[in-house]
Amino acid sequence: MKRSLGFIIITASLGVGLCAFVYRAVHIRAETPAAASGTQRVAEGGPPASAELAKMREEIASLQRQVSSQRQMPVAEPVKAEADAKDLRTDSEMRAEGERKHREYMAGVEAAFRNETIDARWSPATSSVVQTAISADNALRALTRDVECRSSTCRVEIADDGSGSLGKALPMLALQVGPALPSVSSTRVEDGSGASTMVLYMSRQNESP
Amino acid sequence: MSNKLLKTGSVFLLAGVLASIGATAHAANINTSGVVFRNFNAGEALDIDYLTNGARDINANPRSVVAPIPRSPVASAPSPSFFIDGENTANTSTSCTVFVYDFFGNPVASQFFTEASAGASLRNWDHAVTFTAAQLATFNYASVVCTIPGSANGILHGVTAVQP
Repeated sequence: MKRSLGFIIITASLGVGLCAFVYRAVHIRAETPAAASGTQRVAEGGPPASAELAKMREEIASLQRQVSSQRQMPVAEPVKAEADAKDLRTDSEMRAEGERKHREYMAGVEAAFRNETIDARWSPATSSVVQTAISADNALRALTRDVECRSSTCRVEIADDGSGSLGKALPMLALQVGPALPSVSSTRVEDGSGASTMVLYMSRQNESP
Repeated sequence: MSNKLLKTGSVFLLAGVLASIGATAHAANINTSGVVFRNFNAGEALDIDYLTNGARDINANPRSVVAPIPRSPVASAPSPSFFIDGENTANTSTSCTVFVYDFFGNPVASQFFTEASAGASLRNWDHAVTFTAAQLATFNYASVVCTIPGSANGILHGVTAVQP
């Protein structure tokens, strides 16, 4: 009983405080900009106002400015509308959609690679660059299964032994072959027995979204 | 007493204002200082030196450094992009690869670039890297690995995720 009485008193106090504050905020807004600054009023020796109150007013004014600037930021409406629509989905749906899009994208990359003709000059030269970079790394050398270069893309298959060594080796491979093959798209292929293979499509053309 | 009430009221109002900002806010560009770059290889920690405006390699040889690129998990823009900023002294270069990986840790895509100062003076650079929306899905992460020149001949100033 005592507890609930205390709760009611606290709630009532907070309510009164909120009302008082709203009243003060409306009052401040009605004042001129110069008079609205509590610090100025104190400095000019105007009506008495505590430094604390002046500081609070300044903070409120600052917040109002922030809110105002947020609202004035230009927002591309179609993008905003799309984002709002997607916000309504659950995370698992968004994740599933992301995976689906990536699968479709990688299917397109694979098809484009298969449609490339073999450039008799570029293919062996670039394949050699990739093989050299792979040979320089013990882990990669042991795990790499296949390197195939055509006219602008190389397809590299690397077994993932689950040791985490790929996470260290792949960035170095990307940096080493980067001058020749700056753009990489990759996907993991599971073979059903728990083992997986990373398939990298390394291209000399930068992605054009 | 009125001050106390005012204080209590203001706490509630500020919370409300902040909540309303949060409710209407959209992802914005995220600027991250190059001070977040750190040694990519464990044994090279003492080779990386930090400044208020970034990180550099004080060993005589080039070193690789890695940094996260913070981004909001928002629906992908048509052309999600990142900017990497740095500087190089005369006749030195910096190479970077921006990596995107999914929430299982699988690499999804990467883009490599090199910036150099071929002239006789220091060069500040600002490099944009763009991925497709399919590559940079909502929850994908981004990081960047750079090889910077030794003897403090290059500084990485920062990374930016551009988001609508």
